[in-house]
Amino acid sequence: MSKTDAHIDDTPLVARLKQRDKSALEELIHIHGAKMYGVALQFMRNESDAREVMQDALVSIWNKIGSFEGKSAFTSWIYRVTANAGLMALRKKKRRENDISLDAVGSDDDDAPLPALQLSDKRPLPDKVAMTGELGEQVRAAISQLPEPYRVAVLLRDVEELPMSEVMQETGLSEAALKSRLHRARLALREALLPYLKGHDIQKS
Amino acid sequence: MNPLEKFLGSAFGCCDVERLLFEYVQGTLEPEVKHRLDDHFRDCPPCIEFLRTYRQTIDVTKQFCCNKVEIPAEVRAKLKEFIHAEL
Repeated sequence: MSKTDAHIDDTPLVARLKQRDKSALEELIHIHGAKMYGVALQFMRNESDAREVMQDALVSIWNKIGSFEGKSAFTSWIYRVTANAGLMALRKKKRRENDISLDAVGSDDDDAPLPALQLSDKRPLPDKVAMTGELGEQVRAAISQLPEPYRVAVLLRDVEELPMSEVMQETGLSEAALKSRLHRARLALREALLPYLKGHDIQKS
Repeated sequence: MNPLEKFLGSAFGCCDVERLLFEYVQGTLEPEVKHRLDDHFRDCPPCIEFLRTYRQTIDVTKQFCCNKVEIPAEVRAKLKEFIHAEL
């Protein structure tokens, strides 16, 4: 019988990891790997790079489990480790490709909106349809279409809910630049998802 | 505040909403500024709707962004190999 994250007691798993039991890492993947992989894919947008992010995340978890004190939920900790691994992988990729810096993407000072995100289907949902997988698909499609620096800001702040100060540290952005980037990303996402948002109350899970 | 001061623009308009929306949603606006924005929202249904959908965007981003994705068998096998070879 599968369990949701909310019902899983990770205490034995954490104890085994701290005792350097490698089979515990396999069990970690079995229980939490699907969510970690979802996070990795949202950062990297392809399977091969997402696998490398998973590997990097496993290395971090293995090396840092000794310092995990249980102040936050284990699941929050491992998903944050995965998000950080994704961010580092994107930076490494940019340096390799000799492309523009992950953090320097035009000006965060101007207020010009981002180009419209193109989703495949913008039909509004019927009035009384509860939010189903369709909205989820559109949300994920919209996020993956954001230019990388904007996607990273949204993933770190709105998804992982890192404090602004931490996101500033991870991205190297000033507070004003980060706010501008986040705001423009949200406006672009809102515009793309408007047919699904207008007049509908989202049932929170 | 006398009626003339109010007429001359101490009240906020729709153009102020987008400029202040980030801070408003974050809850970091100065109380006086928030109060003036709330006054505007009371009389402006389109801006209320804009605020609602902006907040909804943040909510659904969090809710639906990174769903569980079944790890392909080949990737799972490589991760297992990695665990035993590299760690």
